[in-house]
Amino acid sequence: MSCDQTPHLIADYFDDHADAARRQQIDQHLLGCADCQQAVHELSPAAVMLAQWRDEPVPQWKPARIMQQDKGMASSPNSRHDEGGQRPAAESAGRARWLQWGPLAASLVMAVAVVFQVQINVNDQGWQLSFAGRDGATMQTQSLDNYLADFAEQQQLANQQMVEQALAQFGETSADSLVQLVQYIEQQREQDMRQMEAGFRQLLNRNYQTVNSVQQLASFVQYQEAQ
Amino acid sequence: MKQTIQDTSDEVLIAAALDGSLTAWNALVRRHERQVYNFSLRFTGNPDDASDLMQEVFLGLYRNLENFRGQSQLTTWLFRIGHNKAVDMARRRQAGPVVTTLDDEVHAEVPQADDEAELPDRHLQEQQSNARIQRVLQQLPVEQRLVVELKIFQELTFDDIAEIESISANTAKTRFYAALKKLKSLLESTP
Repeated sequence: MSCDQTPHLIADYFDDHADAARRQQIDQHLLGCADCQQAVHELSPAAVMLAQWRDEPVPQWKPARIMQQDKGMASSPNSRHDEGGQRPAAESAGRARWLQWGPLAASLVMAVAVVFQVQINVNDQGWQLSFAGRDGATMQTQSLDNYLADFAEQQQLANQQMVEQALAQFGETSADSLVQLVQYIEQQREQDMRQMEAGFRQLLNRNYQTVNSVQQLASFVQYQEAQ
Repeated sequence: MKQTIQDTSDEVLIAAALDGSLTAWNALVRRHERQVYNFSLRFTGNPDDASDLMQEVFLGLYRNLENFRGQSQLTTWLFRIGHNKAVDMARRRQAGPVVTTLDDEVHAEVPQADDEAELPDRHLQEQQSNARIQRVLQQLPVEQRLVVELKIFQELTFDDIAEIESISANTAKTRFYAALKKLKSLLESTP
């Protein structure tokens, strides 16, 4: 191709919007330009092939989903005020944050409901929200008593083992070794304190509202202060 | 004489859709979905991606409804959105390229021997012709494919195409010519 008009001439040749004056120009040029004539001849089959396209049916889908999907994010299209038609970044970021925190908040509510044994009773007079009914409180108290009894038993057993081990280890030593014995017993007492503290923390996590556990906690604090 | 929703103009449907009318929105989409779906099918070369692209285009239309002020035809506006969505989709595909050849591309969509007996001849020929068009269009660079789409199938003017693609009308014409030359060579090498 040596004619520099060929690209635009070909484009206009296949352009149905070209006006009569341009058509006349094209026809006149083609009469005297073998290169452009050849280009029209060679490229026409491609245009003819494309013109053979037959529209295919649209698969089933629901346009309403677009509207509903978008309404789930904003109240209506009129709620947007940006000129470019793009959703404001802050709005999108805010929605993303909500989407991020929503499941976490729902999980938290569920966890609180389970821990505090939330009960919702619906009757003719409306609905009632309660936290761990009478049976629940009784069960918590019983559970706490059992736990404390177990703990005391474990403590007694541990003390007994500790004295036996100390006697075995230091029984034949001189008076100087008594200092080591005292240090050993103090270490064991510190371990016991930490274990007891962990136990009460566990109780606190289980149920803040059990009166007995609060009383035990108060006793523990007093005991610690006395030390 | 009572006016039906089919007689209602795009502008009226848009106004009603902006006020929250689901019926108006449905009517508007149904009026243009065939055109948009076939545009998407030619661009992507397969029905699944075409459905995705079509829905992206209508979602884009819905989000920009309030910006349509009737300064041009809705179809021009629609294909402005379609052009942008198609370019976005092509960029996403470039991030994870799918290598196809003329032999296997769109092959699944072409009716095979088992189906042929069940399809009327004319329908079969149309499907084969469409599949061939999709195959060769997929071989064009994105910018050439879109110019061919907007010129041949949507019959937009080169000025409209230039505006949509943010290029000059002369560049649009040059791309169109280059696309036809590429198509010619593809047709010569494709049965």
